[in-house]
Amino acid sequence: MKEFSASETRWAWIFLAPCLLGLLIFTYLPGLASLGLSFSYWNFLGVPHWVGLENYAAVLNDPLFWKSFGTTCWFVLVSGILELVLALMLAVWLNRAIRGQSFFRAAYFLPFITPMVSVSLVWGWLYDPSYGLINWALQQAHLLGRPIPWLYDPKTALWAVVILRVWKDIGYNMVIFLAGLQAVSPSLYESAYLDGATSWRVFWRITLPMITPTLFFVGIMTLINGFQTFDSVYLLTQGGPEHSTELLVYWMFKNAFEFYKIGPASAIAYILFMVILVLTFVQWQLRKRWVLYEDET
Amino acid sequence: MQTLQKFKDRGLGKAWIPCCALLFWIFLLSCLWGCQSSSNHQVSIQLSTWGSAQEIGVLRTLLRDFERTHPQIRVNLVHIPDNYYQKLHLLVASDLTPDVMLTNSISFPIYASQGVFMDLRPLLAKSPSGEGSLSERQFYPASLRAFTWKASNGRELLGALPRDISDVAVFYNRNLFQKAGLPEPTAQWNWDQFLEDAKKLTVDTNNDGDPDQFGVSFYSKPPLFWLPFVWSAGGELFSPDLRRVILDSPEALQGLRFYANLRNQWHVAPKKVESGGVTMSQLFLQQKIAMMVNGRWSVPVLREQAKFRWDVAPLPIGPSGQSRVGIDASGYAISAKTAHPRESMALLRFLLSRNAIAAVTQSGLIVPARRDVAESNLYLAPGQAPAHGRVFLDAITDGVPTHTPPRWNELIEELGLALEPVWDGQQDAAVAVKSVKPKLQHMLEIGP
Amino acid sequence: MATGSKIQLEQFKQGMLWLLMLLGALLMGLPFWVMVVTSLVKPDEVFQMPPRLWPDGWHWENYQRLFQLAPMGVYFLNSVLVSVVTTVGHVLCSAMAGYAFSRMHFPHKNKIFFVFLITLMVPPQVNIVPLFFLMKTFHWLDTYAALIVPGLFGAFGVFMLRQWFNGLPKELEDAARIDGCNPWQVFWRVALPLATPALAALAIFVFLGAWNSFMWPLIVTNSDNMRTLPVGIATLKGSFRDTTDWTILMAAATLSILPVIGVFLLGQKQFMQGIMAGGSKE
Repeated sequence: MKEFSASETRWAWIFLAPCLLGLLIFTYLPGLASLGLSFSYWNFLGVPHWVGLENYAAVLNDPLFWKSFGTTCWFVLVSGILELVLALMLAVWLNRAIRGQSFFRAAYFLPFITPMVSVSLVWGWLYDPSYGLINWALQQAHLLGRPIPWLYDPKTALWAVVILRVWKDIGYNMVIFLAGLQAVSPSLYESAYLDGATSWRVFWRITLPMITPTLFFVGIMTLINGFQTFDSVYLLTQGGPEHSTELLVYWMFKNAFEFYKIGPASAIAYILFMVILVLTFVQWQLRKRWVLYEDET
Repeated sequence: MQTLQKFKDRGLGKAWIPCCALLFWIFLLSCLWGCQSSSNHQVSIQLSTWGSAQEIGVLRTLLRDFERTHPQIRVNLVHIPDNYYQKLHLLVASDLTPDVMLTNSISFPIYASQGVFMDLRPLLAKSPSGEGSLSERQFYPASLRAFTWKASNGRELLGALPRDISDVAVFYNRNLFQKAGLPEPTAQWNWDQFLEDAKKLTVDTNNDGDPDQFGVSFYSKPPLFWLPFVWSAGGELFSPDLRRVILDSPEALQGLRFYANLRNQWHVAPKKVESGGVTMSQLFLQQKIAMMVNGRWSVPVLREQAKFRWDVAPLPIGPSGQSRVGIDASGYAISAKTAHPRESMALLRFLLSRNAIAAVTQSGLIVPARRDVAESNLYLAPGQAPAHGRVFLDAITDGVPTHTPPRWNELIEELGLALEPVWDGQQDAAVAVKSVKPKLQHMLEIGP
Repeated sequence: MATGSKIQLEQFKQGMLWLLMLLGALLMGLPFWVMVVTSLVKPDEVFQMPPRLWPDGWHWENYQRLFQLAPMGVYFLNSVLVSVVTTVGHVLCSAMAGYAFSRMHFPHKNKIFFVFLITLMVPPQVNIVPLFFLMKTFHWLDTYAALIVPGLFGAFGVFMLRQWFNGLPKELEDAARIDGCNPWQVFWRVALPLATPALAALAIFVFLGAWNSFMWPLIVTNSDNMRTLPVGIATLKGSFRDTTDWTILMAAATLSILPVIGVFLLGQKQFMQGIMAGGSKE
């Protein structure tokens, strides 16, 4: 039984107090209030009153919610895979001691640090079907017959948001993969090459397994961030056209701040929370299966 | 021990303390700066408004005049250029309702029904007496009706006094009409003539199979752009008691189909892909569309930037034999919970006085709700485009005051979503309306 | 072993790779280039095709017009104030808590750690409505307090710094203790200076998060002189009633990006180190 010194405990509380108090007041308290609101009816005016599971029933029966949910899942999956694969490729190439490594690192990383608001504006301009650079360039290169409607057609709008997200996040993922790759000792590679292995084999059999912890970390971050996408939708598409880019957080925001349906909005938020929780938990469990060499890094 | 000495003497700790103290003070001071307190027994009232930079410029000048003649009142302008009602709703919800608010009759019901606005009937004297007083007869009746709320117990409330009336008309490019050899539209033109003109004005200049100049503009949102076609065809969105959705009547559907076909069947209006991020006004200014259905608010920009001659015509007469557009009003309301009712009323009287309304009218931005200004040269502005400014005034007679239920935002979102495939030519109007009608009906029934 | 041609092949592959990377880097930077160019173009020429990749004349007056239209200076100062204060406060709070978890022994340590852990799972959107009303209750709406205080607390930094402190050798701190320093002095004078790389990395993260934050300041500010840069820009976009002036919008976007790029280029090394450290551990 460890003895706790009273004075050390006191000091510990002093050190912990600001952060702990802050989290209790600004995270736990609103979190619980939100839970309560998800069981209430309120439109900002007047007083909330209890309606039990009505909001959850309404939300889960609403085809628009399911459309939004499906859209978000597709978005997270597609943009996530693109982000991970492309970033990994870039990191592997960059790791080969190409000249100007820090320049490339900075160049790819730059979009990540910029405010999504500003870059959404630019991309909105780039995506213009008649005046935007993207369609013009594609048509000049004769890769395109008719202009792509990008943000103005339900079939292409979500892809536009995906591309924007991938462009923005790829640098961050690349840097983290780079760190993971650089932690792999070169002697492993040397012996493999001496044995006559091709670079693809080396990648598949040695590199990839060694960086599974990094993959795990980046994977989870990408997943969670994907579910929380908001700024780009707010500025570029406002959920349209025809609800095709109505990602969950934006749909929640709309319910709360445009329709003033606080109850359903809170229910949506909590459902999202549960989804993220479950997915993180699943990832965590799967970790034991496919994340290797964790204790050795 | 030596290394430890180094750490003790590092002095890093000493440098941080004044730094943190300074930051703390900056923080504190800025918190205080944020909540400026008024001085010398001055009463400070808040006025919220939307508007572009020019409009705000005019407003600020007016407010300075007001503060000069009312030295004990200070007006704090809360300028919300976008998502005005969202922000206003949050302000109301946080008990930060501005004392005086600019509001539109469309978004008026939800707040009126919750008692957010003060009844302004006591402000209207029976007849104008003395400078600065307001009377009922000074305003267009439709504009006053737009701000009258009938509570469930039968009591009537005049929640705001109107500043301007908004309706839509057809702006047209006189140069393009001349070039196509077409006579300019008259007040008697109907849908057939409108369509004929639009077809002749849709031109493919570079022969690539796509029109480069369109006959007419196309806005699918908000409903004020397509509802006039429904009304002119004899249809309606809601029943007069706001209890039923009647958009599926044959007349209403005819209106919807005509509008949608402008884009799809006859292709005289640009599709979404063809306009992209460019607004109809910008296309009109670039002479890429010959006719634009829009409101009076487009006038200042056109006056400033149009490099061609232009004018306005009423919306063409529909199958119902009438040309009907929506009449909604923007006006000033006073918060029912204001701490300064007298000062707020003084500001209201000032903002709706002849001089103030004239100042805003002169930019061309509004159709004033005050008849004396509307019928005068201040509004009609002979010598300035549009020569037929009277069109906006005449439309008031047959206009439909936009009568909206409290759940308007949500209803419009649902309806807009259902109609999108119709505007894109993917679905017939009848099918779309049929599918969304139960949901809308339900929303009407459950109330706010 | 035909080493000659093999080396040539390798060199060729390297060269191609380098070119590809360069192309990719150019594509990454292209939107920024378009942004700057569009901000310097004459407003009439914005819709001219082909799109301009180089401005015809350098129309700096677009920036002038921007400042006449929107109080960019105010937005900028607000962003700076909020970001800096949030960063300093957040880093300090996190460091203190991280140190406590790392070096101190107290009852219920694991349970409290768990309490911190849970907050990482909660997406911020869950809290936004009640938090808004909390601000209303404190009368903090439309003040710096609402913009700063909720951002001062987060578990991520606590974990990051706990990890870092765990990696420090205990001897220096023990020596300080023996010398008679109380725990605060040990923390302030010994541990904290040693944690500078981690602190710097966390600081940059928090700064970026605060600078780029959008949804929260959007909801919590009403008056123009309280708005931060992202909200100001979104407001600017929405304020064009009918005719969007892209040159002004792009000018605003350019101005909002320059400071972050500046900060990044200055602190690139620490930043990269910090991210890599954070990524390769848990």
